[in-house]
Amino acid sequence: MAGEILPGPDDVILVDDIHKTYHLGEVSVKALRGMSLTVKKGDFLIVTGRNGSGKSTLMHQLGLLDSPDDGHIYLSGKEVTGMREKDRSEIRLRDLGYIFQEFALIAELTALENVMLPTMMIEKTEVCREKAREMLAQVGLQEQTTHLPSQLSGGEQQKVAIARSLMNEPDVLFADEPTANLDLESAQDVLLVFDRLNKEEKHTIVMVTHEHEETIYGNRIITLSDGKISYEENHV
Amino acid sequence: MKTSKRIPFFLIVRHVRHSNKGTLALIVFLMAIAFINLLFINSLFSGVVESNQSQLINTRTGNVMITPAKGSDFIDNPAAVVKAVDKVPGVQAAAAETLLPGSIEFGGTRGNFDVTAIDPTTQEKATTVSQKMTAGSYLKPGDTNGIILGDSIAGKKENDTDFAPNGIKVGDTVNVITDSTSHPFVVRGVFKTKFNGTDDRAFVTNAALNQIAPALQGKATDVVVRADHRGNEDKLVAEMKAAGVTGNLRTWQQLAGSVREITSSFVTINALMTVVGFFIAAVTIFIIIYVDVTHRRQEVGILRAIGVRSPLVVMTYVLQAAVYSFLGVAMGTVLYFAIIFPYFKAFPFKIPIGDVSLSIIPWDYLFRAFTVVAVGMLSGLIPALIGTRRPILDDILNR
Repeated sequence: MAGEILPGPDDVILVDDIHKTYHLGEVSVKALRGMSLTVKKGDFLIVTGRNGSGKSTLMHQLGLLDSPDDGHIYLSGKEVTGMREKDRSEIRLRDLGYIFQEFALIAELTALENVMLPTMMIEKTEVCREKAREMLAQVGLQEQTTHLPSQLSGGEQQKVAIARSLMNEPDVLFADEPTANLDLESAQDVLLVFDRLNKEEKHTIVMVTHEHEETIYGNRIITLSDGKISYEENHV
Repeated sequence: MKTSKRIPFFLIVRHVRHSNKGTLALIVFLMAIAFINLLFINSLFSGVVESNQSQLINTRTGNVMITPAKGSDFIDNPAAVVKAVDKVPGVQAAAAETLLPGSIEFGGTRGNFDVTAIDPTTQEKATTVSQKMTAGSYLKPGDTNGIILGDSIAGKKENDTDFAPNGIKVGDTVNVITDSTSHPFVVRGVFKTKFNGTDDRAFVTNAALNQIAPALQGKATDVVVRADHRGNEDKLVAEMKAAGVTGNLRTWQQLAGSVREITSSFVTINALMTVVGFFIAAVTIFIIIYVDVTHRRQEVGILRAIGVRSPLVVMTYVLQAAVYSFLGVAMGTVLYFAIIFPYFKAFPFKIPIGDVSLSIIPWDYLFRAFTVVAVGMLSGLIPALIGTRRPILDDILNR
């Protein structure tokens, strides 16, 4: 199609001119107004901006939790806009990991069970259990495997969520303000986990934050304003 | 089992293990109450019907009643008939009865009541009248001037114009009038079966019959046959016929008459109450499960967000509702059969037509148990379907 941008071989994410408008009664809020961006393999992209700038809306489109009204999104070379829910679910399961600000753990499952859950769609229980133990060890929670979320601190819960997001070896990790509900020390802990995952394990990460000091972890920073990228910066 | 199909079972086990025990217990208890309500209404009406039919069989007709063949007024040689019937497998006892034409006179007033001559020994085995004495004693064989009266004859009446308005006591003398001749009898006892067709009868012995109506000696108007158990009456009739028993052989169902009407009325009321009960139970269960699943919509969103496919999410909540319902049925069954059922067996409802305890047919129990589980699953299905059709973010963010 004329004018359509296609992803290159190193592009994990390609966003091409997406729009999203929310209708709240009679009021329409244009959350994204023609957003375009590319994320390459191994990038640690920080998305920042004021409240209402469209950061979370962008993450929801990229994480396939919502659909744009217009434009195209490619994940790992596949166009995901217009996909059936069944296929989107499959991509959420296998190709991407999503970390919520509110942790989004299932209260009745232990740390180990929360982590192994997505992989149970694919692997046998014993394999899932072993892998989940490894992932929890990677985020430093090898001693808390049998704890319920209510028995863990905020930082620990977020680490469980990170471990869960890594279980199916996703192409990209999305983290939507992962430190917003954490104290300073826990936030630092979680950020170091992301840093290690990016630098040592070469994971591609897209993280939303409105804390300026957290931008130092990314190699690229985009600042959103009124649903568009207003500023972009690359760190060496 | 396909790997992903284990997820609902995995989640249900963890849910039961880790969820708030108080909430879980309350949900299961409410389900149990809904189930017990369904069982109780049915059991009560079944109990009324059962009580009424038992009274008919135990105190009046037996399981099978033999009456004279067409064209005959009496069964000749009833002793031989009783002997032949007794030999038929499945027969517990048989007793011949001879209805005396006449009436009873007491205190200057006359009442048209059936006076029946019996052999107290065989009658005691064939009916339970002897166990229903409320005053005095049952007849003894050879008693030539003793009579026992049903409560409808001997009991106190509300209207002064009724027969024996102040009642008849043990030791009083009543006159049995046959062929315009008055025969005095001393009241030996009063019985109360709470079955109208029996409580308006009076019994004398065959020895007395021989004195007041010698022409009827060796004749009977019917033979009451009691079976080992209820339900095989047609087979019993066939076997008696095959054994050479003649006469008009009819089962208690064929003789039911007013009992059939009462039964039919109660069956209709039961059906109506059951429908209402099902509706109330369905609504109750639906609300319980709906509230529970709706309360956990964030979990629905999380499962979908991490890639658990919607049909599996739906299956999780449907199975969870089935578990609640099953536990409710189990708890209801235990409460019902360990406490409620034995209690009403020991302390039956005292109602004018008889003492009614609860009665449940296995099929009715299974049907109600199945319905509760099915309604429970449906109640889980609807909110789960709604949940998986909503935007994921709405579920996760509870908006």
